[in-house]
Amino acid sequence: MGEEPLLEVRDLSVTFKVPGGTVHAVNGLDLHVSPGEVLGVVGESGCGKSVTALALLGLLPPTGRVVEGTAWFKGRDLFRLSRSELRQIRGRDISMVFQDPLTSLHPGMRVGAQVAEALEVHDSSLSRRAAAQRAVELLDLVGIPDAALRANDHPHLWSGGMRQRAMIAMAIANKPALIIADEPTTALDVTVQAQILDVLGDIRQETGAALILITHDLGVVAEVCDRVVVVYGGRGVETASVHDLFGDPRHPYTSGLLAAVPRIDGPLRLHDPIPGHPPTLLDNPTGCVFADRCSRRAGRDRCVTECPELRPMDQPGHRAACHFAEEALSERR
Amino acid sequence: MTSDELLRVEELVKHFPAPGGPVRAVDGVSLTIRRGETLGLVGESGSGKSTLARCIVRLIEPTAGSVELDGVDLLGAHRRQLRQLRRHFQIVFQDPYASLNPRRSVGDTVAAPLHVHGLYDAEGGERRIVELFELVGLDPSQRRRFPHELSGGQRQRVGIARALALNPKLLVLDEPVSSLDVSVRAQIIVLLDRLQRELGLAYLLIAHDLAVVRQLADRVAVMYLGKLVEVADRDKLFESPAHPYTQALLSAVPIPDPEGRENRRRVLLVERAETGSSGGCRFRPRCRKATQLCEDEEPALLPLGEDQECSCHHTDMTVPEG
Repeated sequence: MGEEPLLEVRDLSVTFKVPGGTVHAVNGLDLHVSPGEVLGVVGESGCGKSVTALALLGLLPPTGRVVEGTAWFKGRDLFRLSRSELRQIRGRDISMVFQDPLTSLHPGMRVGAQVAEALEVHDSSLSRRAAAQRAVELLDLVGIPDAALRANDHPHLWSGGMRQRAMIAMAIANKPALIIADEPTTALDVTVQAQILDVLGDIRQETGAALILITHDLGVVAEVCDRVVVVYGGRGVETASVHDLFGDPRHPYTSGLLAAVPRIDGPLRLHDPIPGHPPTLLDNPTGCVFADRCSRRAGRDRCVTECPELRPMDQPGHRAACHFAEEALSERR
Repeated sequence: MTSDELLRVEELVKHFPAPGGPVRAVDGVSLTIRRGETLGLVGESGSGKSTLARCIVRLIEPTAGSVELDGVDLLGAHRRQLRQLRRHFQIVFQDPYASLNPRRSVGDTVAAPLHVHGLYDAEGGERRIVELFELVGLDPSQRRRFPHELSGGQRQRVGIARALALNPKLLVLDEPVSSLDVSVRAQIIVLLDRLQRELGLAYLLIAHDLAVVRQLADRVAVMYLGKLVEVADRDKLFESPAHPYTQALLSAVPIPDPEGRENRRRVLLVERAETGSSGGCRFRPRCRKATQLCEDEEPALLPLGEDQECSCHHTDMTVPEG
């Protein structure tokens, strides 16, 4: 905990211009990740988790804008960097793995050449031959059988799992300090997902890179993360070590989500689902973003008049954004 | 045929023509569903589970085999007969956005099956729509809205209401919750469970998410490359899976609880071989139990004790864990 964070994001706000007005996709989000740590960013679609990743890497679409916030990484604020400075960092210090490995790979280029390109972009002294050689080593490292041979394939010949391994090979090519993986296994079958999560784990062991894992899947979070940030309506509503989050959730959204996940083990009863659906974020509520779906609110005015801050709970590093976070959630669970 | 049996599928085959030989998407599948029962059908992408479902409801014409609903042959039925028979079996699709007409109010969408079957009349029809909306937990005042004005969960409720309009006996649910958010997914699971109990419906539930299947299914069939490799009672399947593929599948599902995660063991699979080798067990190239016998002879789906069938030559062999 005392360790200096590798990346520290403070008060991030991102808006999108849409025909109906302004979407407040991210609203004052804080997060930090330490060297070598696996941070899970978990939330439902539209909660702002992917937008956060894109904002950090300067990859927001033209309609999106970082309106507030800082992102300190190795002594520099990512939001204050020029395009060319950011280009230096992307793929070298921070790399990204996306959800769909097919659309992220060039269909007309051999896989090995694409991995080699990731190396050459950041190291002009590297010869073609050395880059190709290193690409094969990387593909081997992520578990591609007969990597030297398969490096000559075009992506369509590879299965989804193999393509995602190739993406991971590219992501680790320049030994980044941080890898951001956005739903890296969501498009994959469950047996393949297990293999990819193993590869990500092995790679981290080997390179010591930190990992931000963006996902909607609480099972994946429980399997691989050290620490978790739960995002709802563009805000961080709870953050804790993975054990505290699953063992003692303090925010009603977190506990509702946990209760809503069907499991292949344990008791069969599915608990009362959270009513309603996630907010659209066209207007920015003054109170708690979760108030209209919350069972704990029960007519309390404070929930709609005052936005709850993320504040510390008993355990170190555990914070929850609920005015009544200390109340037992037993009636829900 | 026993009287509580609703659906009987025998040796269903669907081959798609392709350069380099037909793709055997469904390659001889037999199954039954009892009245009011849920059969879960699980398998990974490309296993043929959606093709099987579409063949059963004849959205795709099967290559061979038979499908009987309540003793009536569905595959032999002519167009007009089939349309009449469709009252008894309906399908709910994965993506409620793609499967609803964007230019039609959701009330009209739910009413459409009634019109098709000549069951919509001025006073009774409107009442039925309101009833259906209430049945699936939608506010009837929303029936003049269009799909884009509803959330994903509400759209899926519309899809379910449409499927229920004609009082079917069987609903085929093709990945009914997989495009929905976690919190909304739970609502739809609870809804499907309630509807089944209230209406006595039978479900064929197709899903890749084993945890969802466990919530709803009475029995589970596991499909691999066009064939069923295991069929068992729900608890039997989740507690003591017999086929190495089922074992691998179950052990790969992430458990949403970090306690004890260091000690979890996975049943490892061999990386899938590129070319489909002909003959023998189709799971053989990925199986860690595979022997010469598996190469020579395709295992049949055979009873294994009570309430469980499995197609593996080596159910008594222990598999190395990883």
